[in-house]
Amino acid sequence: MIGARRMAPRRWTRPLVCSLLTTLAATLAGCGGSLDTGYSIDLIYPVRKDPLVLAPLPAETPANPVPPGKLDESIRRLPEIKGKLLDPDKLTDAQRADLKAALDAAFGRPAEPTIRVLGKVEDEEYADFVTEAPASFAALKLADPTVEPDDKQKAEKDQAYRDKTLAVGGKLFRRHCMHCHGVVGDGRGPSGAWLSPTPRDFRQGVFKFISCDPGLSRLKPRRDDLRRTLNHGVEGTSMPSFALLTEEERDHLVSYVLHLSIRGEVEYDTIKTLLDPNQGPDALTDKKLDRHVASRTGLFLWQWAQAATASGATPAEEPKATDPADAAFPASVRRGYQVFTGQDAGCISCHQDFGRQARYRYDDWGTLVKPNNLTNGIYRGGRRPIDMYYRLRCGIPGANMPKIDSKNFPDADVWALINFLRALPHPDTLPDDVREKVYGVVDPKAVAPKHAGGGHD
Amino acid sequence: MTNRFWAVLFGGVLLACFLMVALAPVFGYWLPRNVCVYGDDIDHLFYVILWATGFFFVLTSVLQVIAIWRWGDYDPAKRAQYSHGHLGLELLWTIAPGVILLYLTFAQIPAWSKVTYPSERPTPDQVVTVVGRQWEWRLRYPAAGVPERVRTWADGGLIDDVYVVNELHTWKGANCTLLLKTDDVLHSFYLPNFRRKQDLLPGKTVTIWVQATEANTKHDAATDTWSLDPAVGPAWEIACAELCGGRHYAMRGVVFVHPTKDDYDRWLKHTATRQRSYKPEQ
Repeated sequence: MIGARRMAPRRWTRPLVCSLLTTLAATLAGCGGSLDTGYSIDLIYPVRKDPLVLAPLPAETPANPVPPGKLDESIRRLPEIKGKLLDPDKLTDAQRADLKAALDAAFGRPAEPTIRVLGKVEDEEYADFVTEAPASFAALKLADPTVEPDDKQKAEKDQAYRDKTLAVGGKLFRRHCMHCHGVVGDGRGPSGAWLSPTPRDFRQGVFKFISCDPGLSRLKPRRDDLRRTLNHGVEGTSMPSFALLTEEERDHLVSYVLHLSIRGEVEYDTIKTLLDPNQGPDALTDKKLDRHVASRTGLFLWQWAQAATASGATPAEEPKATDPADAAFPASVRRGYQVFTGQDAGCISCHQDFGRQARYRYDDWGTLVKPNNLTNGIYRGGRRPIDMYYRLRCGIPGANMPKIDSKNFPDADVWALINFLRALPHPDTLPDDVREKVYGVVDPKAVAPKHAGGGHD
Repeated sequence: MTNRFWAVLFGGVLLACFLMVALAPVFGYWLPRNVCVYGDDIDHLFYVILWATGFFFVLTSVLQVIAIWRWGDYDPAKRAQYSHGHLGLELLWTIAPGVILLYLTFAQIPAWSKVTYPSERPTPDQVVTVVGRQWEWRLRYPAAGVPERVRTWADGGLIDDVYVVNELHTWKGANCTLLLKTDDVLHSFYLPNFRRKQDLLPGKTVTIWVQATEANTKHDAATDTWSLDPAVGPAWEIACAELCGGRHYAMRGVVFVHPTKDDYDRWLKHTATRQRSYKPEQ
């Protein structure tokens, strides 16, 4: 009896000490563990499953936004209101397998991302873009800048440089962006569905806030545009600023976004071609599909490179007045008001009541967006006058805000419009007559107070 | 003999804790550098509470270790003794904590009123609106310190206001008043170096103030840029101290304290000019 009692403490001493030591060991191991947050090598880029939204977009639009988490359901219902969709589910298993193989060869996988233009392209129309690919890579900072042009191994060295940049960018993307933008950059990451507006889907190669030459046939962002979005975030949306990352890290991220976008656009284009009823059932098979992927990769690279190397939407003329204290400012604002409300520019037809009564409209991704309420003073693409200049001259692709052409509206008119837009949220800076037309009162203090800047509308 | 094990274990853990706390400052793990006028008041209260709780923690732990050492190896044949309590002891350990708590109640009043009472708030030299959102701090500065502007600008902003993300700029000695708002969920605006932490409440504007006693920013005339002075040590951080979502950890910013108002004004003008830029440059 006594012996048994004496044994009692020992019976649980050992397990307790063991478990304590195990916990301690596990904790220490956890602390010293690898912080490598890259992708598993087994992870692949899945082939697109959600429908492609085709033009023309439905003209009829609901009065309310898409409820949170229901984006894909609402896109699938677009045909009910005369929207056009292409469903990748209609691809045959063989087509899907071929497409996946071709895309994987050209773009790798999340842990080993790459961009390769593979194989010869017989199609005359696209052969040049493929030949141009090395130059495109160089223009897009996806080629090793230290390698001399006459280096015999230049192609291999450039490829190695590109793969390394993209691998680093992919790792950063996983840590900072994937949660909203998704592994393939489809804007359907775990939290993406719950955000309004929805995170950008890169897979159509369309970006809203760009500053390239507006005369280009296909408007693509320049690296600086993507970097600006990373630096400043997109005010009024869930996209925060990533200015705390180093400049190098942001550069890698830009490269990776470019990779995802080109991969997505090639996939988009190929699915569209595969499902095109006019092409006949065996239009793109085996080798042809590979060539299609190569030619489109070359084409989209060239388009990006065009935007990067062309001069950009540079103002030809400086504004006459930029400060409300300038004597010419009121006249400029008045002119801006005329342009905004006039028939030719047509701003007011979408930004109804200066955006206060704007209606939801479909964008190229099949999501509902609202033209900005310009009395709020929140500018997604940036609040610098030059940012506004870019928005007006390049338009907002995807959201279908048209560009203002320089023939009908010289820079002076655009600067006037910008001055009007800058003054619009601040009634005290509007001339009396304009204030009365916009806010219905002459006294700036009588304008009803609104939500103080920085928020959503 | 076996039961001495527990006395040694408890004693060892106690000693290890004590050494860790005592040695932490040597390795730089202690309160971050205090750079706010009322930081000392907050730190003083922190130390009072630390000493009071530390003293009693050590006292009770040492008594426990002594008890385990002395009486742990009990004789099972001996009957336990039941105590009905000791009035003197009960009085002692009721009154002593009561006195300490009363002391803390009154001792914190001056600091609390100085830091939080609107009536005690100094006349602002600078008013900055801070909007927290998932997951960044958006700050808005009035372009110039016109007194009237300080009054009116909080509700709508003015055309020449300066917008900056994740950077709080002030200058040494400025009464910096911060209007805290949130766009989405609860956040908490935390300035560890200024000993100030305040929740942001949706739909409400909360006003706080800080005043820096030191500067940490220098101007590089060659590039016309401002950067943190490495000689001052690590950056003074803005942190979110309220779990606010997936990237709560990334909701950080930096405080730049300019040496003089002139330097701050120059920075503000520089930033305002960039924001008004109509030339294509990053």
